[in-house]
Amino acid sequence: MNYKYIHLLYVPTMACNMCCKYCYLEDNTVDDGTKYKPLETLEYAIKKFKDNNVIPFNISLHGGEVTTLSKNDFYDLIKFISNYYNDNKKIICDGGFKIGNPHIKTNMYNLEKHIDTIKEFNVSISGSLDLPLSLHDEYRITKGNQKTLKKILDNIALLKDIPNKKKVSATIFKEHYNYIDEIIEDIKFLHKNTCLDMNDFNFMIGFDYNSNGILHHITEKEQIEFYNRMHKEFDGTDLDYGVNGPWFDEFGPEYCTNCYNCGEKFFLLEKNGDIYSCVRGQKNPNYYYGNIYKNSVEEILNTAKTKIFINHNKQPLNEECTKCGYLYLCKTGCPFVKNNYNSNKSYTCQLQQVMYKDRNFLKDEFNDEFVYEYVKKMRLEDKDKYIPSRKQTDYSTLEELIKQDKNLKYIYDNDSFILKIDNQEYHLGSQIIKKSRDIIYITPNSKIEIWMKKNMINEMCDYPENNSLYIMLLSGDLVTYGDENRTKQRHIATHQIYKGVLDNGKQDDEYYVYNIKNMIDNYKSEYSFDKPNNIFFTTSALRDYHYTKQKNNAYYHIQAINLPFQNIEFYYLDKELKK
Amino acid sequence: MNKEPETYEELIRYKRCVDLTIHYDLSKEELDKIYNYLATYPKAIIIGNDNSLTLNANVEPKIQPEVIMTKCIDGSIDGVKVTNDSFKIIPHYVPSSSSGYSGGSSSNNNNNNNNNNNNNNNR
Repeated sequence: MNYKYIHLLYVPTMACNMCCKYCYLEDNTVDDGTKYKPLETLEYAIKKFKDNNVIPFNISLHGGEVTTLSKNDFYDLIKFISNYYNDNKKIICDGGFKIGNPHIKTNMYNLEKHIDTIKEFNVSISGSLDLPLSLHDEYRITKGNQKTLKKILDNIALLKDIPNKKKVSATIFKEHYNYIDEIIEDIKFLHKNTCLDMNDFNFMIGFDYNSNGILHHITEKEQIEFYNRMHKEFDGTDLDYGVNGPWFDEFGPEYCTNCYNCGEKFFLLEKNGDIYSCVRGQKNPNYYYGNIYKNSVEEILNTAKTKIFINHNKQPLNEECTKCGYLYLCKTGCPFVKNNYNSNKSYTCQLQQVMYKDRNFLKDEFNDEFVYEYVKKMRLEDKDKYIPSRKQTDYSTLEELIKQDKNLKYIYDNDSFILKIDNQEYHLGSQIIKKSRDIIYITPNSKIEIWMKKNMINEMCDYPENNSLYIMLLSGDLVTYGDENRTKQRHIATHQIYKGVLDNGKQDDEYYVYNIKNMIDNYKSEYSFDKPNNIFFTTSALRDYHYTKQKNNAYYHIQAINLPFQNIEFYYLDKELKK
Repeated sequence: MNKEPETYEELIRYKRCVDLTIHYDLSKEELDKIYNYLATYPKAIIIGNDNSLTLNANVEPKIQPEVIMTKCIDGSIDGVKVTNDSFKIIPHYVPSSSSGYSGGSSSNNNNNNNNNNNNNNNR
């Protein structure tokens, strides 16, 4: 069975017992009074996902604040998740994921209420604190304006004998950064005096969003100073593992922020059935994927991929990122934050670069292929700009051979022929050099002229009077023939227009102009309707030179085995032919 | 597609949409949507990636692009760019760890040396 694996955050209640001054959810921290019970929506969603071969490999509870749930609701949810992991162990492990314990993100203020359930199911706890702790009591208060730190520390103490994972995280804004010495002391305090695993602690770097103007982000330079300070303080200590690992893992390549398209993997489900990208995108219409009760799973998954793709493309690709050897790790960062800042690169770019280096991630100095892969998958920019150049090591490339032999220049350049069809101009390039193929559509009403630079008639030619504009028409239909049994486009016609005719026809200072409409129309019944036909332009003298070069230079021959001349592919559309 | 083209402009637009089906798995409804989008927005740009076609109206003020999630079914290409004036194909780039670059050329055609045309008598 081919399963799709997702990471699911479930928000069983929007209610919160605290009133942090900077809360991004603002007035949304009250239960939305939906008709669904907390367990009902999760059960429904999991079944619907599974019926569509979508398997959450991780279900984490998030808020609001999950501990505001009644004891029974909390117990039922945790039991359901625990059973889900047991029942789906094989499927999840087969997908390459580890089975965890039920996990909650909590402010820990009412943890004691659910301590029996936490014990019974060994619930993994991820708490939030403000560091330094002195600011915790200032910012993280109850709705009744009471301080919360003491009770939270008491609740942490209740976890002491439970063998669960228990960690905390802290978000760093300028207001916190100003107390960096205190932060260090408080980390040491928590490590020494609580049961929290401070090696599993993590920092988040705050960004300006819905903080009621209370908090302000730190600069990229300050981010690095903060990171360096933590290393100076904790490298080589018993928190060495943490400072070189989990503390800054959020900015590493394993996190959602560094996915190609996080909409393919990360989902946040609310009790009312609404699905968003994540905590950051919660309640934001640009990150709303649908409702599990109203939309099909296919619709939700498609909307998720689509919205994240669009969100990544709201700003043009930053050219600095295409030159950064770490794009393969970073992928330009979280679309939500980028759009929040109207930026097109990760807000922790400099920090990430330092961290990647410290963690021995190799910088890809020749990243053109990755850049192309990234553009191909995730960007709306023109891809041809990013197509890597061909690489060969054992002999000269065609481009090098052209540079070495000036006589080849006009067989390949992009300036010598312009095809004008009605009001459109197409600068023709060599079909074996150019990185994209233009297909044009010609009708009996089309006006078609080929403009050839006048110098072309003299190039590689002792007697220009005997030289000609050389036009080859090939059908999109294929034919296999000859000693080599090669399959080629079928030739339709070759026309040569001599200098005398060009001299007597339309021209300007720089170009000969020749009308090829009648020539194209004459062969209309010969063209393929299903596959693009082909028209090539060169001069007789340059064509001769190409074949002479082929005879004399094997490396040229093998790289220019297909017709190298300037060309364009076309369909001929005739209403009568269509019938 | 529902639309029966009447003018050559419509016929070209129709054919461009039909040609997209060579490269992408598209339903009739999706083709109609693309056709109508190109008809509605003269400067529209449609970008085809590995698994999507993005319809960008290319107007000011900007409007949200529409995305059709679909599969590229033509292994010989990496994408397309379609407008009311052009149809551009990006041939598949074969990474350097593979056997070579597929190049921008169509698959064939060389007369590989010349005398089969009977029209070079003045050389």
